[in-house]
Amino acid sequence: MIENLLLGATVAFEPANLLYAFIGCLLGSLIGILPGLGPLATISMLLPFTFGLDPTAALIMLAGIYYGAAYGGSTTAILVNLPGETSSAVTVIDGFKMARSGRAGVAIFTAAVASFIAGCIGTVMIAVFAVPLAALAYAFGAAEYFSLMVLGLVGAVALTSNRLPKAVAMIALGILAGLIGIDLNSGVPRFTFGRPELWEGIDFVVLAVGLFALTEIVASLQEPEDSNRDINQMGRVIPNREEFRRLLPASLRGTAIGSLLGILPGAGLSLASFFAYGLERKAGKHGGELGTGAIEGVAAPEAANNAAAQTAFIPTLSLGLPGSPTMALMLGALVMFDIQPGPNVITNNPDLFWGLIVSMWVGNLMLVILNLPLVGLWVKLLSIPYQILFTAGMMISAAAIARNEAEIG
Amino acid sequence: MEATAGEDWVVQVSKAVLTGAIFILVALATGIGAYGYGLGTPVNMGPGAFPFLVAGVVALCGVLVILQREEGQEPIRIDLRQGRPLFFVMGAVLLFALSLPWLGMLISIPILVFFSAFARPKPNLLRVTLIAILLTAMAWVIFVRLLSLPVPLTPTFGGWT
Repeated sequence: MIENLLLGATVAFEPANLLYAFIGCLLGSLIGILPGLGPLATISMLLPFTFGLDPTAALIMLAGIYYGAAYGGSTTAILVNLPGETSSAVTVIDGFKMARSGRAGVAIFTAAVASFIAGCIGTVMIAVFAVPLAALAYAFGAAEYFSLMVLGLVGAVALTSNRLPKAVAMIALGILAGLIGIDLNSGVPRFTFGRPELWEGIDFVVLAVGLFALTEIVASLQEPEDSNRDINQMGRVIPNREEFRRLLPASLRGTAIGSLLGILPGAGLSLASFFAYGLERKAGKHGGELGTGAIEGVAAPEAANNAAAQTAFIPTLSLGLPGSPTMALMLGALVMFDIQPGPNVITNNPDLFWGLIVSMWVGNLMLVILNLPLVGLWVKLLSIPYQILFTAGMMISAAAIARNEAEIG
Repeated sequence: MEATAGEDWVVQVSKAVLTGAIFILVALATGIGAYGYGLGTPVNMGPGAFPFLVAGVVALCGVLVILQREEGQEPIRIDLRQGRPLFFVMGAVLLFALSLPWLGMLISIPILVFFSAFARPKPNLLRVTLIAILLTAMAWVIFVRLLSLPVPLTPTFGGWT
């Protein structure tokens, strides 16, 4: 295995590939921050431009966009209570609380560090377990997916501190909201009020903006004028020893969950981050503090979504089974470059496979280095008077929705 | 029901009753809709079967929440004056949505900004105007120039689809 990693390193550290990894991570972080623009749209826009590139370079860049976005979504989640990506939706809970109590810097740094830890471990995991993990993904059938969903729902009930009827009602209401759209079995549009825009269900951007951004804006406006002034001070960026001691185990747990869920086609980054949060609640030493601004509440989900972003490549590369639309695009890129994904890709294209894996690790390192100086910048943005801030927030929200409208309808 | 109007603008409702009522209302609305889609038979479930079941669960939970209320629990005090930000923020989004296809982005963003500014009483109109101009310009740069999105800029009166 060492030879494989060394081979990968020689590929990944080529100057051109380093450059492409950097571009990918930079782009990924940026689009992760913008709600409404995600890796799927970006990759589909950039795919034509990669025709002329070396396939390894192209894949490295596209991969960088993918996991860069998984990280970038946490920045807005922490700073303005608006998740840039679905997978960061659960980071808002503790992340925003941390920002409100002046620990925005630490929160963002934690997200970066947790993602990096996940990236390092994830790289090793892929290197060691690529083939057996692929076999596991292959074995997951409808019954297993159903069980996973039931586990998720039951877990959601178990994790709330509410009384049972409220918890169950919350889940049921969530299911009802999810039923909006075309019924898969009969083709009948349900609860769509006759609007084709709702055939696919409520769009995530709309949901995120309405649920997180607008409510935060309205709630802040309800408070008296001056109380918004002191929040979101930068504070320290580097966590102190106590915080480090707490974020490490949480990151490790998150990585474990993320690595496992990432390989399952269809499971996705969001499932990973939500599960990790839930696990942290139950298994973490400070689990009870989750929801009040606990550092584990940022570390665990962010580690999970990064780990999942990396292991998502395993079924795609080694089985030719894309787990999500974004992975399907990656697959398309591979086919375009005349590379046959499948069990033989490791033997037929070792430099591509191992180069990609090592480049993921390099990319994660780049993410940490890239984003840390920017943390101060982001937090500075928040000392703008709230009048301006909230109108800007509303405009971005409205525009993100309008853009979705334009694209679909 | 424990809903009283104390002072002028404050309404007091018991938390459990409110929660339960919301659940039941949502369940009813959804359930009636679901019934309209056809329930079918257990063997051959129609599109409305699953929503109806889930709505039933919600309704049941709503009833349980009401029944399980503890006496002497603090009622929630809803200050209706606090509805002002909600009205203006939501209203602004609604106006934006309605005006975008008709009046174009260059007009609807200022509408958004101005209407939402009144969420706080007595807004500084000069500042609001500046914000409106700045944000419209930014939106143009980001969404039209940089992202090349098809956004109507000027009034098309519904011609844009």
